[in-house]
Amino acid sequence: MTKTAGVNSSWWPVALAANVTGKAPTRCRLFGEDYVLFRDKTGVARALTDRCAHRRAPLSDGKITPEGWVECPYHGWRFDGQDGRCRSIPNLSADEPVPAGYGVDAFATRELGGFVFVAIPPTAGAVAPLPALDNAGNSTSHQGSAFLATPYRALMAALLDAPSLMLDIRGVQVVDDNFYGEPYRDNAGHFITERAADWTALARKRKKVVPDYPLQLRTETLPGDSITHLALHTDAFAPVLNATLAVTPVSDCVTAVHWQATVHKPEDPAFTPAVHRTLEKLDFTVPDAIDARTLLARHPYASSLWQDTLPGLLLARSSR
Amino acid sequence: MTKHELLTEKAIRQPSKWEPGNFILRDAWFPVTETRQVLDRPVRRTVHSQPYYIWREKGQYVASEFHPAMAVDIAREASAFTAGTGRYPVVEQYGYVWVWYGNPDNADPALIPDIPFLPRHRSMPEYASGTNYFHCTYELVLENILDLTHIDFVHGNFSGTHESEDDRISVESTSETVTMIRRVKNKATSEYQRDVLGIKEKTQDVTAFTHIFIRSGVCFLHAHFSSAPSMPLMQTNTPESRFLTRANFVFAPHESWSKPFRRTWPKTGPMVAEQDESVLNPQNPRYLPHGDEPDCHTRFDTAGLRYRSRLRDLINRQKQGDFSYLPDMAEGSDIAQVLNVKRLS
Repeated sequence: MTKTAGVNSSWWPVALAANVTGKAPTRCRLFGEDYVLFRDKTGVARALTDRCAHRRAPLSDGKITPEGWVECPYHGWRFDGQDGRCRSIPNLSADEPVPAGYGVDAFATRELGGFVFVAIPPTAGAVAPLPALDNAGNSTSHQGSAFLATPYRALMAALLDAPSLMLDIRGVQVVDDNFYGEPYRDNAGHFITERAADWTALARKRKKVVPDYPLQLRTETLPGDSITHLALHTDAFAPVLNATLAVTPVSDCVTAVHWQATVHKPEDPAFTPAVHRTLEKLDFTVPDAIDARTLLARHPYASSLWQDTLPGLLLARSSR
Repeated sequence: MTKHELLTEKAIRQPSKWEPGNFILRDAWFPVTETRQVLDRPVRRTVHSQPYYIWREKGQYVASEFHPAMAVDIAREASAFTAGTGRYPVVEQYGYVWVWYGNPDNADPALIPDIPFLPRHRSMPEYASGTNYFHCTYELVLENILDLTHIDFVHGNFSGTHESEDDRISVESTSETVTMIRRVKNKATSEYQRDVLGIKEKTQDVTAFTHIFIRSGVCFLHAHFSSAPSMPLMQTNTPESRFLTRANFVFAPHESWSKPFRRTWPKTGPMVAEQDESVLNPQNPRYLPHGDEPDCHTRFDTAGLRYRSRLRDLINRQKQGDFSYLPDMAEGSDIAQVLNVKRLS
């Protein structure tokens, strides 16, 4: 089995675009392999294997040269992000050119929605297309990265079955099991869930079953599965929070979630003073761990539908 | 093709497969601990994952497979490394306790590496010695030590950056050792030499040496600067496992003409080691699962490539059951002369 078996995407959102700079290289890990990320002189994000071709020191511990190349910290070999070629080896005299063929693997990158995507060549078939994302992410008010000791598919399942465990929205609690209709995959291949949410301040005071929750949470997982949009809105469809989660498999047991969110302040005559106070302090983050006991208590309805409607599976079934 | 390209080409043609940590060389002496660290209470050391408990018994050093508090049936549980006795061959020399890893019948003390700048029967002052750990195989540590150009980048603050007028290396080797000599003209004086030692010159000529013993991992490092003082260093590089190398080190301060330098330079040992660890630690996982990937080389890697080649020869001999030391070991250059140090032993 290959390292990428069981996952659907070839373009992976490996970092927040804001964290990839031309000042210092940074490292990301995908399927257990390390990549160095940096911006070249023109500001284009570049991704190379994070192993110097010389003695395999991590290039991500090096620096970026005035030419926009990444320099190894061990012996100063310099690599061009565009094609991975070694451009310069210090100590060599002027009449000693860098041998042709010296270099490291370079990977295609794209910047979308405030994330840097890296194309990891698939073991078979073509690279899956990039998700359609606008660049609104660049103006988001909140962003961050979380690393969870949970395998990628298990974490995706947790996001779909128990979003309350993965979304820390201050003052709001997601009611995981109260779906508005059955989760489904639309014609564009987006997997969509809609469920109820509540203001924590109000929930504490309630003693009876709630006939109508004041908030609704919609999740929309794009084809390829690595990007999930979240929309939290009032029952009058006034936006409260919009977020995008980029989920990537770091290793067999660790998954990264890079996220960006925009918090809104809707007005509604139905809002109580407690809701107004909540909106003043509304915040969003993704925690670094999920509670296993709570996850066990959730039914895997959404994740099983997600698995059952994966495009590859539908294709396989229709061809039988 | 220019002369420099030919040199580079020659380095490239060396066999590319390099799998450090994949074969354990036997029949070697390892200086596992300073003698001052061993009293009546046993200390625990490891060589290639083999346990060694060392203590003094009636003034004599004992190296055992088992702690005295362990309830073991020695006759049944002792390994071939102690020929069923539970006790390894052990020798005190150069201020260290040397233990034998291999067939005890072959444990000839004459095979202990010759360390010309250390007194044979006493220890150096405590301030001149210490211990570091490198979290990688000892092969990578030895390659690092033979690689004198990394010093310009990883230890640039102590030894100066790579700018120079001329930079040449030469390599000598035997079946058991590799020696590298680097001669640099007008190399930049380092921050440490300028700011701490008060060296005024902006550049200086440097001759740097490293000498390694392939089986045991013992190495010497030395340099002669035309302006700054220096002193030789012995480092043990004991392979505790594929993931950990214990580097006991001892400087020879008596070799330096600068009194302040004699006391201050040994204090930099852990700082220099930390700089090496920053590259050696991440190197290890980048080699262990990727042994088949070829490395790229330049003429500055000739010593490292020679080490790989000599190591491969030793491995092939040991795979054939030949654990002997070849006569060429004694035929190499007098290392005291190579290092240009006063021989004490």
